Amino acid sequence: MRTIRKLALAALALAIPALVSTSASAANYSIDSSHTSMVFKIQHLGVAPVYGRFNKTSGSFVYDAAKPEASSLNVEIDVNSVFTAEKKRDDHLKSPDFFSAKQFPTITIKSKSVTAAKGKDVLKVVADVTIRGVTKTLTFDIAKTGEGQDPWGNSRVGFEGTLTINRMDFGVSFMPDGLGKQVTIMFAVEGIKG
Amino acid sequence: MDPVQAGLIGVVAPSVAATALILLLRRPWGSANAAPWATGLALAVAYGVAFALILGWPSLPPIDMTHATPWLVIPAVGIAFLPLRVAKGRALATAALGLLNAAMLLGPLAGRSFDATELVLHALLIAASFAALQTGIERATAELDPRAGVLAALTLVSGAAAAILLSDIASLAQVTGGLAAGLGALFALGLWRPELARVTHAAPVIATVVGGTLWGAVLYANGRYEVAVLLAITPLVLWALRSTLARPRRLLARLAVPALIALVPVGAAAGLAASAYFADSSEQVAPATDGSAPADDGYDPNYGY
Repeated sequence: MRTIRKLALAALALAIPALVSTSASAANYSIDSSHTSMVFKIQHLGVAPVYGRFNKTSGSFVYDAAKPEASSLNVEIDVNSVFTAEKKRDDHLKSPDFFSAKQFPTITIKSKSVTAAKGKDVLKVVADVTIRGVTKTLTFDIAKTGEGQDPWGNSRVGFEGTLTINRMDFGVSFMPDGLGKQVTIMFAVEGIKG
Repeated sequence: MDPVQAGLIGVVAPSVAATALILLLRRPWGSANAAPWATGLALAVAYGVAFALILGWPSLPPIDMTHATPWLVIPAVGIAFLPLRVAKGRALATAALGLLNAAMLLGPLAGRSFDATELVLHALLIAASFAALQTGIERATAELDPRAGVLAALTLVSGAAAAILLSDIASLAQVTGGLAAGLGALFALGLWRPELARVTHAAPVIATVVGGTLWGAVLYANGRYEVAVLLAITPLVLWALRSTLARPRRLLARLAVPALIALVPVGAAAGLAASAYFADSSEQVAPATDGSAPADDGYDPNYGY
């Protein structure tokens, strides 16, 4: 009887760490571009903000709810997918006056650290943001918006956040008076596990 | 930026800088023939002042292709210092500068937009444009009335600025306007002392700014090849017609005819650039895809829901 109890305790002792590591382990997600929104707004002539978006975003992230510092983020935004509902303006945005898309076809966001922030499921991300070949380290918060399974059995998780940049810091300096220097980027990202 | 401020930084400041340098280095109250190389330096400074005021100090190394031209203007000034009698040396140095400019323009596109054959063809095209601009300006202006030469060069540079603007790069068009402002200052000085307006020595500087910026517009924005080629051969047209252009006895005709002749290819280039610009704006934005890959407009053809 004592032997059986010892064996049971040993099995439990072995099983607990395994269970813990499964629930708390970091999971890899690939960004689902179709369900990701990368929207920006910029002030025009000091009158009203104009909104635009990037239609293609790719990349991946690692999310660990139990251990946020094990999380990471690696996003690539296709500059040529910029869309403001005005073709001439989109062409101009791709030119060297703004993004110089032929030389710098992607905007990248690579996390350097992720930590828990105030609020439920809120993470503080310190990331290297590269626009037009210039890299700056920025800090912003992202909040988990939900998670679940899609009809095909894929696990999904979503985040959203806001990031404000000074475009002059990145050499996007055309029309410094006509267009706002601060650009707010609002994003919602959906990732598919695996 | 309001129009007054734009005029101050894009026109007045480069003109004042060019005028001050010419007066300082050529000392025209004695003889206006001293230090002819100073024209190249004055035009380079006019361009540099406009660049710094409009786009800021250019980065070094020039990772951003728009920042390459101001640095390439420095060796161009070096070539402008060479006496005209060493024509082969000037031509070879300009050809080398043309190839260097081609390398800087094409480097970021290697393996991405162009394969090896396309890269070589583009490099040759850019270097040939440099040679055409430099040789044409140098030889045509050597035989024209200096004021007629600078007016023709001003027509070319203004046309290039307009073409660049219509290629969706307003900032570089403004900066190129700084070079035009410098040429305008030389013309004004030429009304006092005609020899001050001679831009023969400055040909490498003009070729570097016009060639580099035009090809930048073709490769990185919506510039057109035929526009760049038409503008590059404009000085050769003047050179080919030099004996006819130098003939008129009346001053007004002597000054105006070369500029009007230059206006033919320059006007054609500007017309082509304008038609491309306005044709683009009437294009419909419609999803277009073969179904195998995401469309350029961002629509995903495989989207389920």
